[in-house]
Amino acid sequence: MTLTTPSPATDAGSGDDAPRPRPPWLKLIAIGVAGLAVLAGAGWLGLQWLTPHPYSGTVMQAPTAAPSMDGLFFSDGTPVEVDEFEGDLLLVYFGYTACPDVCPTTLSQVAAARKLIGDDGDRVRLVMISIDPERDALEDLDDYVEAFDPTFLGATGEVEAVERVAAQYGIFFAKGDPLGDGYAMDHTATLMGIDRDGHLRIVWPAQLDVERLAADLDELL
Amino acid sequence: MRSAGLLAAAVLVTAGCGGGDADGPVIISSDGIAVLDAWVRPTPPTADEAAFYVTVENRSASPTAVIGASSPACMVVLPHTTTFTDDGIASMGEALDRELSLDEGERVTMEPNGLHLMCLGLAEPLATGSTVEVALELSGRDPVTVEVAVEQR
Repeated sequence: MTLTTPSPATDAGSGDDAPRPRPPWLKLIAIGVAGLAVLAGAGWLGLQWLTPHPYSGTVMQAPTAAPSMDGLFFSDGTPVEVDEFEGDLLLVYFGYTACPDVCPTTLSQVAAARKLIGDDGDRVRLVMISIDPERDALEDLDDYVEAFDPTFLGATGEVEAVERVAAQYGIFFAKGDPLGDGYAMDHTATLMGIDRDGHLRIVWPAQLDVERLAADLDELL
Repeated sequence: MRSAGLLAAAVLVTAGCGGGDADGPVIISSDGIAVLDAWVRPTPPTADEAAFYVTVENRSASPTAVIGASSPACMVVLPHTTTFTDDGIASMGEALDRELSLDEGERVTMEPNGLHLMCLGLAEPLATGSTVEVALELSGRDPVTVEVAVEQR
């Protein structure tokens, strides 16, 4: 950067007169402008801090410990323990593999949101619990969910166990319309977030926006 | 076979671009049916189903409707719709006639969590980057065949 300094020659004619004093209002304006900039910056930071994050899901007013998943098992046969995910943000989705529209949509959107938040996304985990254990073999569930994101886990159990856990999470499911040789499942298609302390914190509707979901996950981490 | 016959009879006036872009037409048939976006998600290895999403616009001067679809990649393709209760319970069933009707200038938009073409009996998993041929059956006119792009969205 080059600075142009006034040539001494220009002052030559004025003898040893002191440089003409700047009008005092100039200084006041400078201070005023600087002050406003600082205030605006502080205000913006303050607003960021004070304004609650606008979650795209419904946040629990009084989060309680996430209900137990007794009776549910991962594809490798180990029981599902919510405690094991403490320190991570655990997303729980009740779906089924013969679901062509809503389940792949939500799983794809969670996978995309995890990628959007970068390295921190590693601490976002997802378990899909099959509400169709009659057709969804436990060992096949991982193959299904991993197609969306290799870190996703699949779990299920006996119908009674799935019903018990689903009820505790406020999830309804039942066989729906006949479809081909089989049937579609009617099911509550919400996504649930269990925070790093193991509390059920947030419920998202099926109509997700990937960027807003990513911002929510980032905020919850 | 019925689907083979439909495919043979299908009108194939290409407009390039191979799908994927939400606004560029994938195809415009000679009788004024435009398909603006045609895509399907890649499917997990175990999946027997898929959902095709297409946007169909009637640029002709007479009404029509989507009355069915077929694809060599599926045993059956059915126009389906997903609906939600206020409590967030999703149900899937056959699409209603009014959802598929296309008056002059009208558009039927199929997208996730709503109207879709349900593919049953998927012959093999759909891989990103490939395409699937789907023939749309329309009332009172020739079927329109489109290349549906397999895309992760």
